[in-house]
Amino acid sequence: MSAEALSVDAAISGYREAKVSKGQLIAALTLAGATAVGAAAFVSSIDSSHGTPTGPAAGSSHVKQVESSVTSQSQVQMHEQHLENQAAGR
Amino acid sequence: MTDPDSDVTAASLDPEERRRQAVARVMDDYADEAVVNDPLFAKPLVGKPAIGTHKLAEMIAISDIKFDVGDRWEDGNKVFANWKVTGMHSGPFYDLPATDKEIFLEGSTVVTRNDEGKIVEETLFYDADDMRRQLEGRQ
Repeated sequence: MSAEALSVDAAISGYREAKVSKGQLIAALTLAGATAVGAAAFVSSIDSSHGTPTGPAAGSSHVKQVESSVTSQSQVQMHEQHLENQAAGR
Repeated sequence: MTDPDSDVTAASLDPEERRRQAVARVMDDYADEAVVNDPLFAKPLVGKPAIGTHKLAEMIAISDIKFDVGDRWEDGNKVFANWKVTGMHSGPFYDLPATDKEIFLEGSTVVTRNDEGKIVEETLFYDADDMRRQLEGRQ
């Protein structure tokens, strides 16, 4: 897969699925306008971000998600629980 | 993260109303069907209610937010940015109580806008495990 053939979206999702190398991703980001330093920092963020879900627009269903205490409920449910706790003085 | 204190005209309002207004301002930038991909959550936040709820939770939990945007570049309808953020965990974050400790986070964001200029997708990359550790007051 050549860097020229990759959109940034494809490069990011491919990198996260280990189908695209770090060099190819940096090349795609650089072609999209990133500086070398900016691209490297961006890749570092991706490397540290194991749990970022892939939304419908990005098109990948292969990223495994890890549930945690923070992630186990919907956002609305958690916020409602928080408000109930506040009201109860907890 | 969004700082409700950034609007000095709202300074005289009570904190809850200021947060509500700040969320409304922030959410005006999002399309109705927007999707936010945040590593803190297992699934994408879809639609304004879910996204707004999370923005509000951040505002309740984190104060004195300082955002340092580093490299930023555009490609078509996408904006990429690297950032560092600090703030005080001075309020509860959902079911996690305040630690009254400083939060530090660095990461990157990709924002995609539609033809009307509204955000349709926002994807964040940062170390969510580190964020959870900080929110839980662990080293």
